[in-house]
This record gives sequence, C-alpha cells and structure tokens, in this order.
Amino acid sequence: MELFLLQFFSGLSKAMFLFLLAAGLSLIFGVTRVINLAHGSLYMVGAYALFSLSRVLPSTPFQFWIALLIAPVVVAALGGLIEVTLLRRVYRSEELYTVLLTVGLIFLLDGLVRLFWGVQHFNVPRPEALAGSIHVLGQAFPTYFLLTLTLAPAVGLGLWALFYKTRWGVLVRAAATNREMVSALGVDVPMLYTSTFVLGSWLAGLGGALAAPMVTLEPTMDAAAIIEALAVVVVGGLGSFAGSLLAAVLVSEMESFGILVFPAISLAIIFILMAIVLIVRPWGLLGRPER
Amino acid sequence: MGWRGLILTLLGGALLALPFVLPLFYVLLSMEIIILSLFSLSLNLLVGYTGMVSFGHAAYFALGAYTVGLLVKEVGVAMPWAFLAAPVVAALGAAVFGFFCVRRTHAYFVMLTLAFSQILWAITHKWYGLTGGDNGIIGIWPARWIAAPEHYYYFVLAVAGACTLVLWRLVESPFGYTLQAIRENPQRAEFIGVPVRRYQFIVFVIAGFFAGVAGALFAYFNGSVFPEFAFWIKSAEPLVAVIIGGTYYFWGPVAGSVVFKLLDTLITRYTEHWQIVLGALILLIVLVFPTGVTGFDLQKVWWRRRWNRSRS
Amino acid sequence: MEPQQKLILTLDGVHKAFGGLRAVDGVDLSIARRELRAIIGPNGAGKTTLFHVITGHLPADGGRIRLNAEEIAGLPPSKICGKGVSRTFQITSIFRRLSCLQNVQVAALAHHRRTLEFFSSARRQLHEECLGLLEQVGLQDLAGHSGGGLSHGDQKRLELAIALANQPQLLMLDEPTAGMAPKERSGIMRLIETIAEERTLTVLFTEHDMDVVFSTARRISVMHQGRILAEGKPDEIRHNDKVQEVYLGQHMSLRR
Repeated sequence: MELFLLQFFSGLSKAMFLFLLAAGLSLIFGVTRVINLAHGSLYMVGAYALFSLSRVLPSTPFQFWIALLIAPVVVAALGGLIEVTLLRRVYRSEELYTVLLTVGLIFLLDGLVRLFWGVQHFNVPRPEALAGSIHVLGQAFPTYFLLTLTLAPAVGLGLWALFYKTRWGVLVRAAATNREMVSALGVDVPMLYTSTFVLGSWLAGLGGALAAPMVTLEPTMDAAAIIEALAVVVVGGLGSFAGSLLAAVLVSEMESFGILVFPAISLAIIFILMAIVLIVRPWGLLGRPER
Repeated sequence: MGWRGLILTLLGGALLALPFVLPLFYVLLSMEIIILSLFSLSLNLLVGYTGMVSFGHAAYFALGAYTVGLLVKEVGVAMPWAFLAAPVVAALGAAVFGFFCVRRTHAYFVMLTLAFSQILWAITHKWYGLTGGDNGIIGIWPARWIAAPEHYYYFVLAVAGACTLVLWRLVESPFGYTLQAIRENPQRAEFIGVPVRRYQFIVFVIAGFFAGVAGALFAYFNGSVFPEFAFWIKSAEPLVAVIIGGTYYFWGPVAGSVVFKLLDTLITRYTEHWQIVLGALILLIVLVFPTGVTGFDLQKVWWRRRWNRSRS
Repeated sequence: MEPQQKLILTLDGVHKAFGGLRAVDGVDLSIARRELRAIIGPNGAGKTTLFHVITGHLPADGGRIRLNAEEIAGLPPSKICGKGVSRTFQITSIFRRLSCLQNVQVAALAHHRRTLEFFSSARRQLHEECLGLLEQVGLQDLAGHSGGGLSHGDQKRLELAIALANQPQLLMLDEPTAGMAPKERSGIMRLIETIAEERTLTVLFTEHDMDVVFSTARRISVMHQGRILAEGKPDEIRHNDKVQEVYLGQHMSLRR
C-alpha cells in the first residue's frame, strides 16, 4: 500500500512537470503549427537559470520563490527573441525547414548552456520550507511535492481562464483555427504568434525551474524532456490543455507503475502510446480532428 | 568526359589513395564520413526526392547495426552473412513501420517516424537479455582479411560506392522521376495515375534498406553497437547533413556529411563549443541558404556567368 | 448502336454532403462521346465538388457513376485516371520544380505503366511522345524551363499537356481559362477544341466566362444548389427562364 502511494504521488509529481512542458509545446503547435523541438532546451535553460539565481540572489527565506518567479521570465524573454528573429521567417516554409530550425536551436542552446555552465552536474537544494518530508498514511513523501501538486494545476487553471475568459485568449484560439480570417479582421497576427511562443516558453521555463530541485542538472537533460513532452502532447491532443494534463498523468503513472510491474516495457510505453494514438486517432484523446 | 566526370575521377582517385597518404586518424575519419554519407543519401531519398521528412531514420540504421551485433555475438555468424542479413532486417522494419507512417502526412508523419524510432530505442535500452541494454554489444570484429583499418576502409568504400551507384540509378530512373513528382504535387501525381501512398511505402523500405547497410558498416567499424543508435539525436545527424549539403542535388548529402563530420571532429580540437558552431550553421542555412552548400555553389557559378556575359 | 454505348459518362443520383451542406444533391448527368459539355452555375453551385467526386478525389455519399458502363464510384483517383479520365484543376496543378519536359514525361511514364522501373535512365524516355505533347500545346520551346517559372497562361497549357499524356477518352477541365487575360482565353479554348477533334476526346468543363462557354460548348448543364437545373443546347439554355432567374443579379449577361 505504501509503495503504491509513493509510486502514485511521485508519478503525479512528475506528471506536473510534464504537463507544464507539454502545455507550452501544445500551445505553440496549436497556434503556429510548428513542432518546437527546442522546447526541451528551453526547459533546461529554466532549470539552469533557477540554479544560477539560487547562487546569485542574497540568501533569504524568499530566495527560492524569487528565483522561481524570475527564471521562467528569463526563458520567456529568450523565447520571444527566438520567435522574432528566427522562427518568424519559416512559418510559411515546408516542414523540413521548421524541423531543422528547431534542431539548430537545440544545438545552439545546448552549446550555450555548456558554455556558461560547463558540463558538470549540478544539484539545486530545495528551499528550507519544503526541504523535508511529510508523512501521509504512513508513507514519507518529499514536502516539495506539495508545491508541484498545487502550482501546476493552479497554472493550468490560469491558462484556462486566460484562453476562455480574456480577449487575447479568444483571438489566439481563433487564430489557431483560422489564421486568414483573424488577419482579415485586422488583428495583429504576428504579435499573436509571438505572444503565444513567449507564453509557451514561459511554461517551459517554469517547468524547468520547478523541476530543478528534484533532478540533476546536466547539459543533456533536454533530450529526454522534449521526447516525453512530445509524446504527451500527441497523446493528449494538440492544442488541448486538458488533454496535456490527462496524458501527462496517464503517461507518468504508467511509467511509475510500469517500472514495478514490467520494467522492460516501462521506457517504451510512452512511445508505444504515442504511436498508437498517431495511427488510430492522430488528434489525440482530447483534441479535435482537423479538416 | 566533361568536367563533372573529371571531378569524379579525381575524387575517386583521392579516395583510393587516401590510406597511403594520410595518417590513421584521417582514415578512420574518412570511414565515418563515408558511412554517414550513405546514411544521409538514404534519408535524402525520402526528404529530398519524395518530400517525406522522416525524423526516425536512425531506427533502420540501428536495426542494421544490431542485426550484425546479435548475429555475430549470439549466433557466431560469419561476416558475409551477418552483413547481408542486416539491410534485409532493416528493410523489414521499414516495411512494418512504414506501413503506418505513410498513412500520415506532414507533422503527424514526422512524429510517427520519431515514435517508432524511440520505441526501438527503448526496447534495445531495456531488453538486457537480448541486446545487453545500455551496455550494448561489444567485440564485433570484421573478417580477419579486412580487420585492419586500411583494409576495412576499402571495404567500406566499395560497399558505399556500390550502394551510391544503385541509388544514383534509382533517382535517375522513371521511379525516381515519379518520386519527385510526388514531392512536388502529391495530388497531381495521384491524378496522373500514380498510387502515391504505395510509392511512398516502397521508397520508405528502400531508404530503410540502405540505412541498414550504413548501420552494418558502422557496427564493424565501431566494434560495438549501442541503443543510442536508435535515439532521435542519431536521426538528426543525416537530416542536418542533408540540409547543409542541399536536398535537391544527389551529392548534397555527401557534401553535407563531409561538412558535418569535419565540424564534429576537427572543430572540437580548437573549441569545445562545436555545438554552437553547428547550431549557428544550421540556422544560417535554413534562413539564408535553404538550398545548402551545393545549391549555393551552383548559384555562385550561375551569377558569375551572368556577370561575365553582361560585360562582354 | 445502343444508346448506352454512345454515353461515355453517366451519373445517377450522385450526392455529396459536408456536414449539413449538400454540395451535390442528386445529380443525374449523361455525357455522350465526343461531346463538348460545359457545366455552369453560380459560385457554390457544386461544380468543383462534382468534379472531385467524379474523379475520385472525394468519395460520393451515394449514387452511381459509370464510365463506359463501368462503375467507378469509390475508386481512387489513380485508378480512375488509368481508365482514361484526365483532369485539370482550377488552381493550376503542375510539378513546379521539374522542367516542362519532365512534367509531361512523368505523366507519360505513368500512363505507360513504367513508373516502377528502377534502373533505366528516364532522361531520354518517351522523348518523342513528350515533345509532341508539348508541341501540341505550343510549349516545345520551353521544354527545359522549370514548370514554376512559366507564365500563368503557359502553366495552364502545361497542365493540359500533362492531362493529355494520359491518352484520355474523357478530359475534365475545371475552369480552364481562370486567371487568363481575355485574349488568351479564346486561344486556349480553340486549342482545346482542336485537340478534342484530333484526339476524338470528350470534354467536360466548368467555366464562369459565358463567352467561352457559349462559343465552345455543344451542350450545357446548369447547376444550382447541388442539382442540375437545366440542360440543353446553348440556345435553349440562353432562353431558359429558370436559368435567367438564377443568374439575375450575378452580372452575367447571357444575352449576346
């Protein structure tokens, strides 16, 4: 029973990071039709940014929280820069060029991370308030779980409000389904695309910053992250936040319990699921079929 | 013979003389370049000629490599047989995966090819019993008479050369023309009587076959095979080589492989940050020179001719 | 000769809907051999959808489509093409980065079922035949030019050559003069008439330019809201009240 709970909650916690990452990726793809393969690298920058901030900021009880606030903004700014200078030029191009642009970005960002932080592994200490463990039903869990399990859903709710209750959100959703029409209505579509990418990057940065105290920081951490995020986006449905959340939880729990039950399959599960969805129902569990 | 034939002859001569002229390091590097060239040429069948952007081509490279690894280590098969089996297994894998992949287009096609490759990676990574997991399979030696690097070099050159010839004939054939038509306008191709999906499937299998040859060559070259051979980063290599070299010309992937490997190997001597250089190069090409190195050169020649003509 | 054998294409109760919109709503059509039939109608009447359904681009929801008494509904476009139907598209559809000659070559190779040849060189194959086709549409001097580099009118001619490479019995042209200057229009229609005569083709075309329609078509079918409103010789159509009604306010003068 204890083991079940531990696996369940650690899977859930991981699902939260994955959700933040996938939500951003899904958003970017839903609106701009670009698969941002560099999304994992943005996540990585977020984690490293938190690390640096935790070294640079004065050591107060609020240090972690301030860093958590700033790091995603840094990544968001980076995302904006990327979109405006690079991505904008390939929107009208064939898949090959958008894929390769983001691959080039992966190399560039990887190289820059190595340049600034080197190749050794880092660990970010958890903030004092969340450092220990709590006991629930006789099992010990890292207190940090409380943060991940509340912050990510809160962000999810914020996103929902943003997209369904604000004018910007309505425009973005409209642009996702019919760019020409929105443009004809006089809306600044390029700005819409940029702000979407900035938001997506912010989410990736937040995911990275939030995950930083729980994982080891190394310059290869983006490779696994992007693949898992991509799988989650596909399974959940492109352009669906609820889908990303559902799929993130589904995938993480399957991995969590898969390791116990059938370890050989656990790594493959996420990709098998991805393939099955693409074969049978490409628009994912909660997505909508395109024309 | 024409200047093109002359260049090819000179190049061929240089390749044949290489082991006598350059030290071992460059012989090894050349083999890597040749193998990557074959891998990239096979991918370009899909990307450049048929317009199918596969991000999972490493799967067939890995299938070829692992077929060699398993046959040599588990069953003790001699080199000729293991080598012949590898591309066949790779082609079979391409047939199975390709059946599903060609039913999807654009972004979905890209992601499905990626998913299959990752499945293969996960299987080789976790199935310790069969594949040795992330320890891989080691101790794969070519037959004694070509075990020395210089000798294996000629083997690689011969095999890759033969494959390149086959691929060249293929793209110049009616089938090759049809592939290009499919790339240009799948709908129009359908309406001149081409069953597009079937042809996409066929070229997918052929591309997988030759990727398998490259994988087999690499397995003996490397002496070992690892799950990373199927990881998506491995799929990015030929894709990057193809874009650097130019997708619309047959030799583009070869040129791109040369540039990529030189960057990878030689630049690291001068700076650790070859990734920044590579990343910047890719961005430069995508944004400024989409036709790649070969396309750029041809444009330069064309401009010079025009300039000269306007002056006379 | 039985009446049936004179008909090359027959449609019985063909319909196709998109969600709630019935684009093609029970169409009966019979085209005789060597006819030059025009299908006209206001925008949204369903002409292009009808073409897509006949050529297999879209599956029909119901009804029968027979080519030479053989059922073709439900077949994929490549198969229907193989039975002798060629078409051109409203938005010119060619192979842009291939040369004009290659454009036609691929079509000819496909017709001769040689596209699965892997090892022969395609460069010189069917050279005579393809140059002949280019000559017929007046593009023989541009054989080496890339398709995408041609003017709009020349691209339409190229598309015609591609369609002819299939040695079709039935040629379906979706707005063959779209985007052309008025001078060019009569040129290409005369060309089509000449080709139809020389190759004993049946031509089915849609058009918005009434001058073109009335000067070329031998029979006209008028579509409106997915159905055939009227059918007959050009004069009959010109004086048909129902047709007048439909076109009133469309700025299309049927009286000349």
